[in-house]
Amino acid sequence: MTGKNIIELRGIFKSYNGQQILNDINLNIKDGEFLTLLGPSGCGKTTLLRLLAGFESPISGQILIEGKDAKELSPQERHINTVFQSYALFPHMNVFDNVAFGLRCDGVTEDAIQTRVTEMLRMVRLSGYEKRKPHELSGGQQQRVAIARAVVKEPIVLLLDEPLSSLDYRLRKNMQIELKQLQRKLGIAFVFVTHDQEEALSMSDTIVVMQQGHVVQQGTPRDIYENPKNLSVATFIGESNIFDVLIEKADEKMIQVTVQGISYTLENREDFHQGDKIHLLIRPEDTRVYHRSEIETTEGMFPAVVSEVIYKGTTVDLIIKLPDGKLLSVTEFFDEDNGEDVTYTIGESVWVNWPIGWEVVLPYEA
Amino acid sequence: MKHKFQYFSIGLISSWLGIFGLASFLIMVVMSFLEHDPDHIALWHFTLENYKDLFNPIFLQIFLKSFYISFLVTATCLILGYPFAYIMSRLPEKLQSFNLLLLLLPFWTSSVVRSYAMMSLLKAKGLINMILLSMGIIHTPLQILFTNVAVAIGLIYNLLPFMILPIYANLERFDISLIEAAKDLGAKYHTIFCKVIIPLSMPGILGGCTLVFLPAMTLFYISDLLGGAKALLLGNLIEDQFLMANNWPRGAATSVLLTLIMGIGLLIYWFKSNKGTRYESVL
Repeated sequence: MTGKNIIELRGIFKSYNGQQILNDINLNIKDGEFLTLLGPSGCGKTTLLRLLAGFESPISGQILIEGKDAKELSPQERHINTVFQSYALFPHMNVFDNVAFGLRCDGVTEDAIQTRVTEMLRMVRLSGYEKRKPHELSGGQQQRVAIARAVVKEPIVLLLDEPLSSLDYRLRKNMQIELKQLQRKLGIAFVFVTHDQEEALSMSDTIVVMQQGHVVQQGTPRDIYENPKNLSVATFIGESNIFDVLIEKADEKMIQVTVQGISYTLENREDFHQGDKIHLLIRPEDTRVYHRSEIETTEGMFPAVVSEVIYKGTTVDLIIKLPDGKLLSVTEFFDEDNGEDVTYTIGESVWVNWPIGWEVVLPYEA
Repeated sequence: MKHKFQYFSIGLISSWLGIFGLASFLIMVVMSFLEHDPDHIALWHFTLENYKDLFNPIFLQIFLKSFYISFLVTATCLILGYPFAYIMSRLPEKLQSFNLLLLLLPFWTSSVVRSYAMMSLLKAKGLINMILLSMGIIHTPLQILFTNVAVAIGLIYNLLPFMILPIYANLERFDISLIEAAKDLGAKYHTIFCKVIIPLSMPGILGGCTLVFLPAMTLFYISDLLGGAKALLLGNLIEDQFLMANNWPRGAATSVLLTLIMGIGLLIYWFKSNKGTRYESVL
């Protein structure tokens, strides 16, 4: 599905007024992939997008677009188009003229424009809206015009700058699916900027996690979720229960730690040594709680008290309190097959464990 | 308390405009339909004669000439003012307010006084001729003062801020991402300018043109001071009829006609700028 590198970024640095925005960014964008730049606001992801579009240039480093140095390419010359966060539709032009704008700039004949724009509007389900002005459209429709206007130019890469952030929850969910389908149909690379980790996980082939101008981790959504590289990636992508513990014993294969007075032997994946401090992360959905009556033994489990029950339809989210006062989040899925009892009451005593091996062990960060 | 103050201030302004604006205009309208009499201000007798008089060739000529000068002045102000407003709107915020201050500084002095100052600049032994002579560019002083050129210069000088300000106000709110979007789609600079920036700043341009064109027809003291004793502008025509010819009804008719033209212009502007705000709500 994904092919050769069409954009390569090598050692990109960028700063404004002495403030470092991008710090040694190295990144490849492959043909046809859905790549998401994910990070909190101010991490430099939008600046990176603007470098690709050509609105800004790096202080040092090199951007190669289809093997050509981008320094010699103006925004007009790049086969890259952008869907702006505010859509930036031309308010004085109707939908047809907005979509046709880029083609007219390229000197495409009016006949060909007519066909291509009509086809494009059909693709984004806006046939019949040709004569409308942008202000006569809903947010979702404006969004689709913005996409059509960019895609009709047949770019090699489509850049999308938080395009869903101004839509309401339901529309956002729908647009996520539509965008993903559109990307498959077009077969071009999408570079998608978002600060929403759920959006990133559900849409991307590749996620690039950015923090304070650095690329912290790059990988598939599953990779990033299951093997976060550091604590900040782990806490940014999804919720986690974190235990700070000391390694009591270690060899090449195993480490031994004590959590809540219970000794656990875990896999040594990162060459940890005896005496190292670590973060032990357990995702809420991997945290298991049991009523005393459901289990025969409490071996390898520690006790807790239910302090909050949040019913969410497909899941029940619990907040449980450990004897030392620490709070944990737990997500239990309704599973009709194993008949597990997922009804909990506040104040109830439960026992807690997790499937050994599903934990994430990270070096301690102060 | 707050309500009382609101009613008071709105009431005060409304009655001020009612008495000195609307009432005097209505008196003018009534006057324009009355018969002229040399011994009285007017005779209480309905007539359309005053409006008929306006269609005589001499009036028509002044009318057209005044239109022509106003048109040239407006066009020049637009050509000079648009780039100025555009550049100013792109400056850092602090420089913008500084430029705005410079632009408004001349208003601290009366426009009549400034027109006298302009006379001393333009006259045969004035500063401009002195400089040109001493530099050897010309050998005999240029006759600028008391010509149409002097009137045009005076009008442009006085009215330029009224062109710049509405355009600047419009461009200052201009969404930069539209320019980026156009670049992104492959638009060259002249395309961006003609197809995106100009159409979207149209409300500002129309506003500026209205604010320049209409006063340019009526600023009679500029034509009096810089243009000599010739009745150049419509404003001079009106002034003459009241003060020289002592024909109040005909002066009133000329004024009413001019007001009508202004009204139509403002209506067009209002219509266009309403459309403009609709655009902006989308941005």
